[in-house]
Amino acid sequence: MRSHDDIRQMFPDLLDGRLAGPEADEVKEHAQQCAECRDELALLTGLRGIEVPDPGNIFWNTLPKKVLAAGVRPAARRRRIVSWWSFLGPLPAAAAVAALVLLVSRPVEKTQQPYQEALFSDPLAVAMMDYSLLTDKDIPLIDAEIAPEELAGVSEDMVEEGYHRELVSLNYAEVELLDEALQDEQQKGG
Amino acid sequence: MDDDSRAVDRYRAGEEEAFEELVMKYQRKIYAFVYRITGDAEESKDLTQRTFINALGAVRDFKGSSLFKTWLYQIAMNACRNHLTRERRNDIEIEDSLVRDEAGVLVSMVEKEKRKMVKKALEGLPERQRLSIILRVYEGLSCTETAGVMGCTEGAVKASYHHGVKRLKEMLAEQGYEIA
Ligand SMILES: [Zn+2]
Repeated sequence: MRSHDDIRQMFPDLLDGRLAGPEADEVKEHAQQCAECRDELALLTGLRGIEVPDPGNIFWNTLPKKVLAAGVRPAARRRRIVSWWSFLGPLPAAAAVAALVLLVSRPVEKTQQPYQEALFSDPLAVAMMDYSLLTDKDIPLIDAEIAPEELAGVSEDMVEEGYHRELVSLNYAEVELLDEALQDEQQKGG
Repeated sequence: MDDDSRAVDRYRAGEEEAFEELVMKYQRKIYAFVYRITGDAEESKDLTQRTFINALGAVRDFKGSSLFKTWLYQIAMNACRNHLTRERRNDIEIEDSLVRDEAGVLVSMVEKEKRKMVKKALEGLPERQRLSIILRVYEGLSCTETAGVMGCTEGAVKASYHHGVKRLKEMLAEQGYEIA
C-alpha cells in the first residue's frame, strides 16, 4: 500500500498513461476514497486543459533549417556555394548551336499538347546528364541568397516556358542571328 | 546509448541532419513548454528558436550522462529566465495574455472562464512551484528528470510540486472555482 503522498506524486504519470495496470488501479482506487486526491486529480486534469496555440506548419517545417543556419557549424562541414554548371565543364557553343539548327530545321508540328514532350534530344535534359559524381553536398543551398520575388520568377520560367520551347519558336533567320551572336561571344569571351 | 545521444554523436561527427532530426523531434514539446511559462505565442516562437540555437552552440559540451531531453528543457528554462523575472515585475502582461483565446477552439464560456482562471492561477505561482508543475504535469517528466532540469534534488521537486498544487487549489478556491 502506497501512502497518500506517494500516490499524489504519481498523478502526472497516471494522466500521461505511463502507469502499469496494477499501479494505475491502485492510484485510481485511492483517489476514489480520498477527497483531497480526487480534487487534486481534477485540478491537474483542468490544468492540462489549457491549450497551446499551434504556430503552424511553416514554423515547424522551417525551424530546423533556421536553427542550423544561425548556429555554429561543425568545422568539418561548411556551407558551400557551388554552381551546378561548374560540374558540366565547358559546353562547346558550336555543338549547342548545331543541335539548335538541327531541331528547328525539322518540321515541328505546332499542335497543342497537354505537356510538351521530348520534341528533340535535349543535350541538357535530366536523362542525358551523368549526375553520379554529384553528392547532395554539391547541391547549392540557394535559399538564403535568392530573394522571394526572384525565386517566384525563376519557378515561373521553369514551369511555364522551358528554354527549348522558346527556341523552337524561332524562325531560320533568328537562329542564324543567335548563331552569330554565340560565335561572337565565344571569340570575345562573353 | 539512446537515440538522442547517437544523434548528438552523429552531429559531432559532421552530420548536420542529425541535429535537424533532434529539432524536429522536440520542437513541439519545447514550444508548448515555453508557452506554458510565458503565455505568449509570438514570444514562444522566438524562445523556441533561441533554445535550439543555444543547444546547438553548446552541444559539444553535452555529456551523454544526462538525458538530451532534460538538458534541452534546462536550456529552454534558461531562455525563459528573462521572461520569468520580467513577469514578476509586470503583472499587466499576464492580464493581457489572458484575454486572448489562444487556441481559437470553440469552448463553452464556462469552460473558457475556468481555463483562464487556472491559467492565471498557474502564472501567479512562485517560479519554482510553477516550473515543477509544468514539468511534471505537462511535460511528463519524472521527479528525477525534473530535478535534473531545475538543478535541485528530487526532494526539492516533490516539495515545490506539493506546495504549488496546494497553493493553486487555494487560489482557485478564493475565486470560487469549482474543481470537479
Ligand atoms: Zn489521498
